[in-house]
Amino acid sequence: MKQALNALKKEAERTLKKITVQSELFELETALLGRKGKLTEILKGLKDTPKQSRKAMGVFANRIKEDVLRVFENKKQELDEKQWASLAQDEWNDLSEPALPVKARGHLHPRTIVGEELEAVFKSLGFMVLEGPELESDFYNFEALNFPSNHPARESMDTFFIKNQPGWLLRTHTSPLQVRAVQKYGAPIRAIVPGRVFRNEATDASHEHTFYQLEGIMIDKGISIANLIAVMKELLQGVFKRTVEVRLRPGHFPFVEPGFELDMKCLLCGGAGCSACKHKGWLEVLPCGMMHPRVLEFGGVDPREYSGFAFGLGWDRLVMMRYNIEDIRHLNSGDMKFLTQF
Amino acid sequence: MFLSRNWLKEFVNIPDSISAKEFGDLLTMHTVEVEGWHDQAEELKGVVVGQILEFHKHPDADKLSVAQVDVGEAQPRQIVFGQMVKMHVGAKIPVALAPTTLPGGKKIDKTKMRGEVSEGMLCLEQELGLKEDGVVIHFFDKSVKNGTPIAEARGLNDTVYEIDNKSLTHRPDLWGVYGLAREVAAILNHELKSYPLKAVKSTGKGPIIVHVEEKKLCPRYMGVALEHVQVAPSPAWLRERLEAVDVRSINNVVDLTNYVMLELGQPMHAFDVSNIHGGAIIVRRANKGETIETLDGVMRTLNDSMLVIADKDRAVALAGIMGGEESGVTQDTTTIFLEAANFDAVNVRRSSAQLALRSDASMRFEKALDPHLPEVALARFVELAKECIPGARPLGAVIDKDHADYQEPDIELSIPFLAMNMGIVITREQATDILKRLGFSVRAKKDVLAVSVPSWRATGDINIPEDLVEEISRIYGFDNITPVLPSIHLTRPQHNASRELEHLCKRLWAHDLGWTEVHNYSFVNEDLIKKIGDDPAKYIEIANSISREWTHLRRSFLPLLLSNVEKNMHEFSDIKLFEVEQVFLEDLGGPKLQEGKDELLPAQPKRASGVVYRQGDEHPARTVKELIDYTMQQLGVTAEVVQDNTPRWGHPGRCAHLKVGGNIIGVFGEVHPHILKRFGIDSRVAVWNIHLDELAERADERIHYEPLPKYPPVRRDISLIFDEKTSFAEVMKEMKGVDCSIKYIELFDVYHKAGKKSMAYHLTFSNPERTLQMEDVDAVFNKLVKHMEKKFKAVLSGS
Repeated sequence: MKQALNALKKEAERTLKKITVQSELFELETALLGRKGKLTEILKGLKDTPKQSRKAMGVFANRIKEDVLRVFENKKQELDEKQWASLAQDEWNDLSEPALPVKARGHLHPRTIVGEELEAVFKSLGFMVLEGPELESDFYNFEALNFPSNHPARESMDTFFIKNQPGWLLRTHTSPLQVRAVQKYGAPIRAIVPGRVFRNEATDASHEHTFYQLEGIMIDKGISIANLIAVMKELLQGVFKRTVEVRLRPGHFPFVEPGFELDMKCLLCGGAGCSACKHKGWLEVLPCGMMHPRVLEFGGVDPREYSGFAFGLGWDRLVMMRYNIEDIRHLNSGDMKFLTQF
Repeated sequence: MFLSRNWLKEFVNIPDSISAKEFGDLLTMHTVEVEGWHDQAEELKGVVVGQILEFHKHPDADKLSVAQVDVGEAQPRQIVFGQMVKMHVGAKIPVALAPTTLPGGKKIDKTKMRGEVSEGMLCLEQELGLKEDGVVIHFFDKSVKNGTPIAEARGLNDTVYEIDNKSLTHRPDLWGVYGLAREVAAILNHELKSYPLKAVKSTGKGPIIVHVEEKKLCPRYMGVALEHVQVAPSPAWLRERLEAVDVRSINNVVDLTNYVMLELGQPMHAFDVSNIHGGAIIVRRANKGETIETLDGVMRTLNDSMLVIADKDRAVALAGIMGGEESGVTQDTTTIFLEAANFDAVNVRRSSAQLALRSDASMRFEKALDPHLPEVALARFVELAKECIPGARPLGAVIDKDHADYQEPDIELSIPFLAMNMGIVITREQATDILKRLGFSVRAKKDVLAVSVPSWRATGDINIPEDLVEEISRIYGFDNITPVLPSIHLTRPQHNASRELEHLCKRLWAHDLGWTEVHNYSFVNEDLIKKIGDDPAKYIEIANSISREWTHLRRSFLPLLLSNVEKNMHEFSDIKLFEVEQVFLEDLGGPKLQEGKDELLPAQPKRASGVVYRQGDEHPARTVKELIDYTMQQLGVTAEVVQDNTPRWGHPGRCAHLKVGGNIIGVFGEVHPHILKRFGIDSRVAVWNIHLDELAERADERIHYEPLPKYPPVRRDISLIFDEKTSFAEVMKEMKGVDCSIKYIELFDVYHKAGKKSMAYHLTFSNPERTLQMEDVDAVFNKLVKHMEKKFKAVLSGS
């Protein structure tokens, strides 16, 4: 019986070497180890084995069986690996091909892209986002912003007026919302007003009669110039996502006192002077100032109790800076050669 | 405005150690914006004195000569020159040494001219930017050493700054050198030299009497006559000073009035007394239709809002704007009447705008000048006249018609208020010192400064304590204020639902659905309005439109979106554009005109609109429907599609309104082919419009969670054949009502044939109580088929 078992093992080993496909392996397995296979046949002889050596024979038979099984297992694995070995060749796909049909991509206007980022920065600092009418009243656009009716700055604003409606105009800035917002929400308040504004002036590569601004105000107790500089710097860093250097210089706007022009050190040349900053080293980025006490009063806030600052960002300028757009007129051109680049 | 550093230095010490750039920055950071400067010495640094050693005709060019020029170098330079000016051996002239760049940008390089080397250029005054026209060359004295930079040889060491006039609008005091010197003195903390002033001493009756009719428009009128005037060219120093700041020299009298204006900011005018009829000057309003030829040679027609200086017979000058041609100074003038007056700022500005005539004088008067100035200006003129108009002397007493309101307000400034506003610690002494440097007088009482505003700042610029905060902080230096982030009470910002919705929708449309966002103007015109079949009378009209193209405010996006298609369709065959903006509806009330008043501005709701064009696509409205369905689904809005009341622009069979709760929140559909024709569009186009504001109110949670079903659902498909014109929406409504075990109905195929359409649906049946049996589902299915037969005469497909 021992011989028969050894022979079985040998046979298994010998035959397996010749086998190259799974189906033959399966056949052999059935023939040797199956329910009616050779091993079962041999093991039937166990009952004829003398009692004293029967146990040892059983152990031996089991070892042989395990050996044979192991050999089968190895072969199986070998065949498996062989089967997948040519996968790269047989089933190669060109993954550099685009998935067809190509899905046409849509495009947000560059103003929207930059605007959403701006709003996110302000919202993270607790500013609310407000909007107001583009067709405004003389009261909110001028009067309440401390432009008395004879004020020369009024005339310099190149205002579009409405036929037969002397009290109406197209807002020349987003500032009317300063007073509207304070009237509605009171103080303290932090708010920005993104929006479209109008100036009746000839257009060229850097001037448009229709453009976008982003106004902001912050009113609270004890707000100072030092606060204004710090918040503006924080905001610009949020917008440009890097450290910026700023400077204030005097600027005059009737609705702020004191008023400033805030310059930012040119990010391209670091202040050395380049074409982007017209060789000044600094870029004029936002007019700002401490809110004029009369404006606070128009909003119904007591200037002895509260102070605040206001600022205006040239949204279109930021868009142009971000994407190196050379002509502001592209923004309102409706030209898809422009729009589909964003 | 141009500002000469040398002129400033007459009144304040400016150390040479402060570079041209540093000085410009100081002005920019503390007072006014400097736009640029030019530094004569720097610009002329490649030009030196050279001496012609010998010259001869160019062998190969008739009009050229070749010279050997000693420019102070070891070897003479060979320079080729033309025949603009006659040259002689020994002449000392300006020579540009190659390589260099002349003022104005001309590059001088070593070249060969017709075979002869030329290592520089002999320069005319014009080429050096020293004179505007003519052909003039400067010959230097023999004593000047060859090779001396010409800037040094000629004392051209000025730096001239260009100041942005816009940054001066609120500062009448800065429209003259002296006012700016006062600022510089305050910034540098140097002493400001007091202005040299000797009152004009003259008595007796002069040739002119003055009568001011309009005292409000002319608060002060001063004048004095000068006799024995000899009109002649100005002395060199005067000419150079004016030319340095870009003012043309004319003659000694006119130059001097300009000089005083540039120095003090007070405009002056000189009349020829022999041309003042009746020996009288009358300051009055112009008569309607009165004409005057101004000094620029233009005949101007006036109206009665304008102020003129007149004699007995006619206007002789536009007050504060420009003199008249007939009464001005000429070569033959011997007696002049010199005017130094104060005019109402608003009137000057309005008149100058109406006449479209801005002058150096009007620019100054419209800022509201200090009424003290005429006196100073007259005295300065008379003093300088001794040198520049030799022999001239006052004739008769100085006339002074003074009705000015001298406001010199007192303002109380508390130091804690100042410190709080600046956000720094600042002492009473620091604040007082700065204010005094600027000419304010200050008395301190404990924590409060009583500040008197000087006359030159009192005409409107400084009124309230906040104005003083500005004065102190800008001289203190904004750069010296340490930025501090505010510490505030946390408040939750108000949520702006419609803005959030706008952002969300834009992203859905652009990123999910492939539409492109466009920004158009808010303007349209009558032609465009009529093209879409609308009435221009419903549109708000601009009173002063920028062009005939943009005369009205848009009510709808349609005209411009169709224009967008027309402009882009030659290069793009697939156009899907959308826009989100306000429209202007005069017939509806919008925001308040003013808080506390009832009057309303027109409604200006925010709308989203889009257009689709695909060359050859016969059913573009389906692309729009995709957008509508997707948007409503994403926003959790159930909108009804109602195909009635076709809009004016619409295709009568292919337009629908969107309704939520019975209210219209949008419209979409195909544009009528005859409108497309008017826009020159060659293929079908569909559009959509959504009332974004109203949608924001309706937007809801789009996800409604339900516990997972206990019993498995059963799925089955159904395909029904309807008449072509049957509405999907109505079929859907009916199907949903058939049985509560029909949980979901999903259309997956539509097929049109011979006036019929077949619609195929996936149906999902379920029952929360038990597992559905075949028989249950069959029963409901049959009930559904029967109902469809009854309601729509529908036939089960394949039966």
